[in-house]
Amino acid sequence: MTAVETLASIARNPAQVATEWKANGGKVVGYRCLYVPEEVIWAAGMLPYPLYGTPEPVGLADAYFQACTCEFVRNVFDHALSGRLAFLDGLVLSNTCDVVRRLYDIWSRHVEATPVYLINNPQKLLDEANKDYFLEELHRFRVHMEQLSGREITDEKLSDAIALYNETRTLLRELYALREQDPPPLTGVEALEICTAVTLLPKERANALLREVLAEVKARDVQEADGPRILVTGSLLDHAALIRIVEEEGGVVVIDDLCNTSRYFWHQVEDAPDPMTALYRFLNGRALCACMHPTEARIDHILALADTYEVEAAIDFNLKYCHPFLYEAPLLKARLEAQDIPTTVLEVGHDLSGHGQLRTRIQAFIEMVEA
Amino acid sequence: MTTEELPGIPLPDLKVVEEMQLGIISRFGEVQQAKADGKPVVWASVVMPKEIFQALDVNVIYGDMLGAYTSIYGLSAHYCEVAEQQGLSRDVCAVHRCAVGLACADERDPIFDMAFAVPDLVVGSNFPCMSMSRSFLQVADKYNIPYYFLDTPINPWGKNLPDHAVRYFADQLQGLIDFLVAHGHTYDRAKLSEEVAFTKALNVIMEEVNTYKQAVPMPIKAYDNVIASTAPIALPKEYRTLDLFERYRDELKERVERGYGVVENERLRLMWIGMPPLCDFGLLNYPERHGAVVVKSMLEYLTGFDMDPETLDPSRPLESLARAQLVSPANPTIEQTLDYFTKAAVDYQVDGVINVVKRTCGVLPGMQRLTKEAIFEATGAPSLVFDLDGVDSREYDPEATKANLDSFVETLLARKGN
Amino acid sequence: MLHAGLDMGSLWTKAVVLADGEIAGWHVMPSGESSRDTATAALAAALAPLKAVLGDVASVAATGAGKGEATQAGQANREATEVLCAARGLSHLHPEARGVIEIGGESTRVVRLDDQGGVLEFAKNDKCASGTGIFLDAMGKLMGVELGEMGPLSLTSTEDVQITSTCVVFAESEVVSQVHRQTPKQDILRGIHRSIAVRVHGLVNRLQLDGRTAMVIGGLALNSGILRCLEELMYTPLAVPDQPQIVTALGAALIASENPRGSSDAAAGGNA
Repeated sequence: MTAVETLASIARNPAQVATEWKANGGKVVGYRCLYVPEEVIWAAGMLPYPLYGTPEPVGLADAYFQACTCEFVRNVFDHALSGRLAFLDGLVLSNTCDVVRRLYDIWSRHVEATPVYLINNPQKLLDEANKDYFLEELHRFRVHMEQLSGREITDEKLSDAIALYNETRTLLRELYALREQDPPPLTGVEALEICTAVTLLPKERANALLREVLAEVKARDVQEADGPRILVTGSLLDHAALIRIVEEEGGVVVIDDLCNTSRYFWHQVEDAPDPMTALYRFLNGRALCACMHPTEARIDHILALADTYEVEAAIDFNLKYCHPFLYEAPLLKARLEAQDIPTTVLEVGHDLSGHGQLRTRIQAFIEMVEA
Repeated sequence: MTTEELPGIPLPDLKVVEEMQLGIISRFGEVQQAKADGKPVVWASVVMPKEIFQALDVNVIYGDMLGAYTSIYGLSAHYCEVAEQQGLSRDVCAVHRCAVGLACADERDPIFDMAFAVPDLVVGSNFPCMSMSRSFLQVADKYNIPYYFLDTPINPWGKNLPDHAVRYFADQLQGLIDFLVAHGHTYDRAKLSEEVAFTKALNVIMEEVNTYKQAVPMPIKAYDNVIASTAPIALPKEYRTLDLFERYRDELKERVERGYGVVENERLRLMWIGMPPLCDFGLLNYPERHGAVVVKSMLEYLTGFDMDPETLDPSRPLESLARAQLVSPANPTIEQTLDYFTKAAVDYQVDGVINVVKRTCGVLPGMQRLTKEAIFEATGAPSLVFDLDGVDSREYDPEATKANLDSFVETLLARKGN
Repeated sequence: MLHAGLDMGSLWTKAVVLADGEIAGWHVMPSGESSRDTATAALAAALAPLKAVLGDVASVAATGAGKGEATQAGQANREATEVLCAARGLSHLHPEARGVIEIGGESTRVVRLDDQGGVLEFAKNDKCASGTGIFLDAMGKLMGVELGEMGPLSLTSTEDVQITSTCVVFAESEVVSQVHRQTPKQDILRGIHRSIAVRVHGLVNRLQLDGRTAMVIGGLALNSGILRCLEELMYTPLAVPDQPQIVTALGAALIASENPRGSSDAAAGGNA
């Protein structure tokens, strides 16, 4: 099996790596979203597990959440209720959106086996006016991880973790840089699955696999592809089905702006007087999620990606009922179209139902772009 | 203009509340007058610390409240459509779609034309939800105007707020003041202290009012109750006096002293959690026909006049306002919301709870199970949970809503042995 | 003394007569176009075994979609809501029941009961046709299968056919394509039954009813195929009372016998 295939199979079975880690006596800490600094968890000797859902319909969670809420969170909570997340030793959530906040409320009362902690991060970023506040929240989080792990998190361990994660980010940036080529040597489906797998793996192993992936991909004999170069954006895609549809209908997905892909690794943790300040600046320097302000930062970032990757069209896969992204969608679309990048906003479910109709719409969009 | 002449607005029962309602509507025209006088128009929200706007004499349009009024006047379908044509999904909050539609429409119905002027500044905030955090961007973008974002930490700490959170939010409030000053306003700290003192005094009156509202039988109709609770923020300055609210308190006191209830044979006391149907606002009084009165509703805490006056210290205005907002029952996490509703269920001797959620709301879904269980554990009162969207009139189903209320009241009465 | 209950559903009308508190007669018939005529006929048929007429009945309570018409026409002297009637009817027959799962022609409702048979909570699905008999009716016509045959036929299915759409309009096109593919009828039927059961289960889940103490009533409780699918989803065998389709009408009759006057009651409020 090639390194690309190894990572794809890890992506398709997210709990596998974590359950193996547990079987070897380690602790696993689940988390969402990107404002939880994984390095702190790792420095405590625990494996961070980004929560992913599965494309199955929601059942048990309906007793707690209305159907008119984010299906990703409902699906994940289903997993918790049915015991599929029993391997977690703890859960960390950040102050992201209404539904994640609600998940905190409900989880803390109904999933007693797994204690949940909330990092109360500010939502107005970039400006260092929030520094004292945010640093205090991060400090409290660090103490909590020490308590959960039973180990001290020294500055040295943190710095080591940061260096390790920076290496992961560098390797992924290098991989994504290859997609600037025309045509790219890597499909959108492969990129998504590689990234997802990397988010799940202990980073030493991830980095080793990524080096193999880079070698494999660079050695590829790339076929011509004459479909339009496409940017995909949205919140999170925990499986590749939608990207696959785009590529089956002739689109060439050259860059994806998602929580489990480029947003995960786009920026580095820069040097700072101490590792906590470094992590603060790192988190505060990325206003890439639609839940964070200023919105301009997110839109400028996507436009810059579109420019770098010479994108011809954009697709916003907006999860149904995902309010923050839905509010920003028309603003983003207007800015992209002002750059002559036709953009379609597609509201999508979390499972596979409705994919027939989606395929038709994607087909029509790509035909329109090619015309 | 008497209340009878206003289309779509129910008639209040208490004269003093009718006075408040007329006052609220009379404020509509102030924005344009002030703009003509050269004052910048600020698009903001009713759930922001209003004392700052009042102290700086800001010419403010409470966008979400105006949006709500489009629904009360039966015009929500139109303004939602305007927002949707601008690209907003039909799945996002109806109140915000109404507000954005109103702000961005090319033409407005006369009454809203009177209440609207093109804003010069926008204030956004993430309290209490993500819709609040984002919808204002449409307005800022449409008119290409500067905005200030008030970042409100949520509260997982309960009543014991840590210093770093209070300091951060107080700084955010100072930032709002600085923003307003940079755009044509003047700030006098003494005035802010006065406004905080006023709110404090008002909340002392409201505390007493609440004891009367807890009387059996209920001395005030549900609709009146909501208007009086939101009036302090919606009234123009000259109406907003302690005297008005003291008269309101005295009227209630008098009713309680003579044992007057708004329903002759009061058989059930209900609490309403969630948005009532704004496009059928009188529905709050509907259960009265069965001898059931809505004695408490979620709307009462939204604008900050159901708070503990002890939180407010006029000598430390920003810190007070920061604390008050952070501990509000409207601020996640759900701990303070559960405390509020559980206490209300006990204090108001609630027999049953109506807990509704509109399809497009982001923050209320998921709350129903937790509030239902907490209230049942505390008082044994059952909750009826159902879908109700009465803000976007296209989604409102009056028959199903009334059938649910009928069923619930009937089953509560049967359980009570009536 | 005689009392009667009328459950005036949009598809089916049910009448139950009590003699001194015991069931003495009952009748079920399609509602047809005139609810007045149907109510008359249903009551007459339910009274026939007693050789009695409407005038002999002390009090009649009506529930269901057509309850207003029955009281206006003078056939009933009071109204009650379906939730209360279903709860009352079931807890009378089975005091041990702690949940009602009613799958009717036009609507589905679930009710949680306390140990006195009082209603703690309820949830309904009456806007969407997916969970109910209307959907089944439409599918049956599409496939040329009689309603009564659908349950037994679906139980012979050996293949899993997914009908994934939550909306009856889209589900219909899925069924049509299965028919064209010549998928065996029993497999399609089981898929349809499962789709209905999933909708019902969604409501059951919201109220967290315990399958061991809940019972299934309503016309569709007679459909063994739906029952089997629901049992699979709930991981427990489900109990169905005798004559599940008349339980709500029984509840109305009981309410008539307990509160003969009825003018001060909640249900009258719909017309107040």
